[in-house]
Amino acid sequence: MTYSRSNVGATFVVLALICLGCTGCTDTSWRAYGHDTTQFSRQPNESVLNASTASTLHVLWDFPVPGGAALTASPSVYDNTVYVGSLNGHFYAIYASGANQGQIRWQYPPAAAPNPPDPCGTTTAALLIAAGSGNPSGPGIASSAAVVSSVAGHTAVIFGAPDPNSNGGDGRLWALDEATGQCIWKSAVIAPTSGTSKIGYSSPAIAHGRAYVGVSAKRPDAPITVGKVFAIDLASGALDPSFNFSAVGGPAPGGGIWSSPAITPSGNVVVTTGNSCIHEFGPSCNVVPSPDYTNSILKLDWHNGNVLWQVQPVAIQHDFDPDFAASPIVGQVSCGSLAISIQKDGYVHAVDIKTGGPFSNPACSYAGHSLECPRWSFPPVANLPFQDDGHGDSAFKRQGALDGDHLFIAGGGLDLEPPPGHTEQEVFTRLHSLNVCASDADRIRWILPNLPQNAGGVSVANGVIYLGTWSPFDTSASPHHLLAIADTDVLPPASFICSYPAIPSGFLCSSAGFKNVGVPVVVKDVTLTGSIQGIPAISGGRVYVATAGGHLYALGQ
Amino acid sequence: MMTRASAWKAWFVLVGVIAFFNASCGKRELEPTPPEPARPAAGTRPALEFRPVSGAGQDIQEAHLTTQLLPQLRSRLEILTIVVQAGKPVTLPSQYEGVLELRAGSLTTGIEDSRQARHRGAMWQVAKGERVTLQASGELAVVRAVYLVPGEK
Repeated sequence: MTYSRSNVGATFVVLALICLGCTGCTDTSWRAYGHDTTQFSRQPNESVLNASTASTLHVLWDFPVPGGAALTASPSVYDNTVYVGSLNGHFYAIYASGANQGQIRWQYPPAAAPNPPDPCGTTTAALLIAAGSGNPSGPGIASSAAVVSSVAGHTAVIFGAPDPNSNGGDGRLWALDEATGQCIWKSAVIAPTSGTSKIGYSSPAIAHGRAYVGVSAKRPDAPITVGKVFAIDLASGALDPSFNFSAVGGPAPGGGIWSSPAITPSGNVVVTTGNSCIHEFGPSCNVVPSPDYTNSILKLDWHNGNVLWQVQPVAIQHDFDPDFAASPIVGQVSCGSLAISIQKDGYVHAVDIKTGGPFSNPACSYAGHSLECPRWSFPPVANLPFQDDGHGDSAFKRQGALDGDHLFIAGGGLDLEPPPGHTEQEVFTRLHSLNVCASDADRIRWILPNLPQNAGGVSVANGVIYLGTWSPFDTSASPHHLLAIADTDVLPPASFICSYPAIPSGFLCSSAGFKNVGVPVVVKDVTLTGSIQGIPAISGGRVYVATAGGHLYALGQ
Repeated sequence: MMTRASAWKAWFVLVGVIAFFNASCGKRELEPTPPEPARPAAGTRPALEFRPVSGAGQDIQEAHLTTQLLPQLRSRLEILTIVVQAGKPVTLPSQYEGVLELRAGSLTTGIEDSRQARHRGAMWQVAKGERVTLQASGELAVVRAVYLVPGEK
């Protein structure tokens, strides 16, 4: 019997479905801060860069921002274009490759106002706060862009920025057509200039036809503002009135959202918050707000912003400004689903996301605070919340990257409580690889010590970790580094170090109860101009890096 | 020419391939809810009572932690937590000899003509009567001061 025509047809349908599936798995774009709403900062579809090819990375092109203005946002990559906003109030779309690589595809605001006027009332005025922003996130754009399909019939880039034509810089989200830069909508005002907040580093997380974004203080802690998360309808830019989250209930402000929300596998929103003003000695401070969601990792119901759990590792009475500057990393690992972030005191906390809520655990709660316990903390902690005065503003920690169960993060460290003769700063110039599903005893996979500066953003692909170094508040043209580091799964370690680095490796280390762990190989160290605050974006065999020295770089082979 | 049997075999192979792709793109249970971790509850400690350091302005405040008597030395240790707000340098008068440790944040110290950036864990000595200038380089810095007060039981 012959193979029938219908069987052949069915076979083609099946093959087409397979191809469709393959296409869905091989998107090499980097559409948002941290790659996507999990903020794993991992490129799953990189086919060119690996431990071997990364060793030949070099600068392919350099886009210097006109006037040298700083880039503190992270680049996003889509449609052969790199998108990034600048503290000068301009948003740039730069060709990623081809004959025009490194050249401006479009910028917003445009050189000439649209005629007829567009729905946003676009002019040529830069997206700046006219006065009163002393925030290092600048008077301009620090929010990284998310590339979103199907926004009122467009593929759009969406980011937060001041509106120069609204009260001298009211903060909104902006949706621009990714191909032309034309404004599709500007959202309702979410950070009015009449208040104390602005959209700082928070970048939109896209889910449920909405963009979730937070606001932080216009000036760092002067005064502290009330942290809020907003949900913006993607079709229209309207504020969803049914979603409400404020980090404090009064009377004192606190809980600024300096980071970017992430979305759990089932669609809820995880945010991290900043400090209270309990020790700011201001007239309305020195009181515990109620509710108090400051200095916390929180899971919010995506429908309405209700809190489903809260982890507040430092009790508010001992809040000496250990904000969460880092965003959460949220998603599935082999041992469940975790939300992971790092506080400015250097402690990393991983929380079971769980289904439903609200959840709390009496062991981690205290008066007026029903709190959840983290699954683990690094370095390990016996009791939470902390009730000592050692948790403060040491440095802004970046959130790291996650590849499978392997977290790459600068922070934590078994010697976070510095032994005599050492300081905490040594810890923050080390990159740790942690196994997020291992026991505390086996948490550390490897340590890369002696980074040339503090660790900035981290991303990963094919077992190669890309790390930029940075210096807080440094917008100068000082030299910094982009390191490509081979995970010890892909290249054997270069040497060994004690997991408690103040102790020499070898017998002394093991006899003291610690482990000798590997030091990974740095396969490439490229010197760039300016501090690298954001996350290197990996796309199509290239690494895109924005610097606070005012350069956007493409590195490749 | 393909027989019915081989056609079915090809069909099953294709179904297997589809299942493989689905599995590779698929997800485990989304958000399992493991039991709450069992851990000891932290004992609650009272909040510290801060007050401005005498003669040093509002940007530097202190809270008394404890007094440790040293009868054999006819002395006592006064242990304080000092909070330095961000902004202009503030001068901390040292009534007694002591040791200061940076407990949180970072700051720059100025002792006579010497300025030094210090990070958490840094310790330094101050002499009686010395005026130490402190400038927080972040938003807050927390200093632990241990003063030796001589001449008393």
